[in-house]
Amino acid sequence: MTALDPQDALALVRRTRAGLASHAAPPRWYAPVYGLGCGAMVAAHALPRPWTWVAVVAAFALVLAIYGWWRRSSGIGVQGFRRGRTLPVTLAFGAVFVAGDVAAIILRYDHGLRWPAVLAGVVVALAGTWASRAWDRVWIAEMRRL
Amino acid sequence: MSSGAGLDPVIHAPVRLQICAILSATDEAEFALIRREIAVSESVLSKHARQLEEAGYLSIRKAVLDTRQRTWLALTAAGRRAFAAHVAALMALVGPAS
Repeated sequence: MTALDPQDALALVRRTRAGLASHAAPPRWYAPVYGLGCGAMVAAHALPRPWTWVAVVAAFALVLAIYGWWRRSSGIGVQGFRRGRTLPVTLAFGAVFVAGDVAAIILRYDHGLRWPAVLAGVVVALAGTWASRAWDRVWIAEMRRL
Repeated sequence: MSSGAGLDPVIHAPVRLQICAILSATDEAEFALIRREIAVSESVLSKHARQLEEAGYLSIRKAVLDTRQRTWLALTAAGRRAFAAHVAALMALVGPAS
């Protein structure tokens, strides 16, 4: 192959990234399962000890497992905290997760209330599902935008 | 490593340009995926990956999974900077209308 003129080179870069973008997104079930795993980590604080920590570890393992599965099956490694337009989505969801988790812990262990942990878990699960889908959309748009 | 026009000869070859285009959108990508995406043989991809690695633009990591060895490629920080500069130079040459 010979060197390209600038226009062809730029077109090749765009075509290659668009080709990857066309099938880079995880399957549709990925986002709800990711959200479920994140929500379960928070809702686990409603359980009596030691089941709280068993559930937190199991939910965390679920999140790691689906990411690992997608990475292996797609051949793509990409992390939530990568630089770019996806970072605000990651940070926004991180803030929701931390706020939900802290509220669940305080209300459960300082005030003896279990239901706020379940409620916070549902909110985090919905936010996680939205964030996962939004993150993929932004990432794919970024690939196509160059 | 750049020419007068700001184009990097290490990156500008079509296969290496495509490798960088894929890796610039990811943290790392598997050798087999890149080979499928750009439709070249293993030996051609290996040769070009090695050239990028020798320039300090690419890192190669091998991992065994389910008894199968997988090779992951990633742009280094220098590689990301060089590719971004290369694309910027291409855009400058082609013009804003593109």
